[in-house]
Amino acid sequence: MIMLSCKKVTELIEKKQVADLSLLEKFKMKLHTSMCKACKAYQHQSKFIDALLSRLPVKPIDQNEKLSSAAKKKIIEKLKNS
Amino acid sequence: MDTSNLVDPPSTISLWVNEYGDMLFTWAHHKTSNREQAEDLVQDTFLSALKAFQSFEGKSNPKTWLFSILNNKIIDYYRKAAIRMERLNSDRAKTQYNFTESLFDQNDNWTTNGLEDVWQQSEQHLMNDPLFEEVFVSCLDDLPENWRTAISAKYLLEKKSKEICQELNITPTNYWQVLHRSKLLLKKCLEKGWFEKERR
Repeated sequence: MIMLSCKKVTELIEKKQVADLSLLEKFKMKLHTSMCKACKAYQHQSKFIDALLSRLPVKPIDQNEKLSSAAKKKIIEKLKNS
Repeated sequence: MDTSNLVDPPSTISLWVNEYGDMLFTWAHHKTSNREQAEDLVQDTFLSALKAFQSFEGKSNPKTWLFSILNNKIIDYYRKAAIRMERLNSDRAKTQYNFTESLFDQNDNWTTNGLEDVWQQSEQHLMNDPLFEEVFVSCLDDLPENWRTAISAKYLLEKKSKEICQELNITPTNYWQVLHRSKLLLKKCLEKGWFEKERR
């Protein structure tokens, strides 16, 4: 089958990030996205979501996040008893 | 630092708990976004430090040493989550998987939604929109836990996908399949929570 389904194409779009695609896979993907608006859009959306994820954690490092004194106490207890 | 006269490792490390505990916790919390998990990781770090105290021998700065132990613990944490991820048959994951299936018709083509243009038009300014960010974070929270770990590991551990697979000891196939399903869910969730409203 020269025409892939949309599901298969979106799979390949994600697979490309982790593994190398074969030439045939690349060709079929290009062919499909050149004709399918929804998949071409998905390709773009996937990158956009990646960009959003790359900004995670959304919260900057919060230097006010402290280890509670109860937790410290507990750790010191454990150190003594081990 | 000469440790030969520090006769009591537990006391030394207890001092470190007070001195470095907060820094380690801040880092662990940043990497895991989970208070309890971060506390556990810090506790494990100090207990491991006690066990390995002989090998430390003041060779490096205690802070550097503790952080290297903690970073290994953080990778372990993601590795364990990845092993759980291999078993994708949790009920929640199953439900979500079926939901992503419903985005395609019987020929595996999109049941189209016509939002493509809305996405494209608004992407640029959304990057810095705090309201959109809120929607995105809540979509991320909606993912099955293991999927979320997989998709955020890449960014939190600041590694390439190929390295993540090695690090987490999962197959690339398993990894991109999870990425694929997670992306589909995020796409749909963003459309429901944002883009459909933009169209109106």
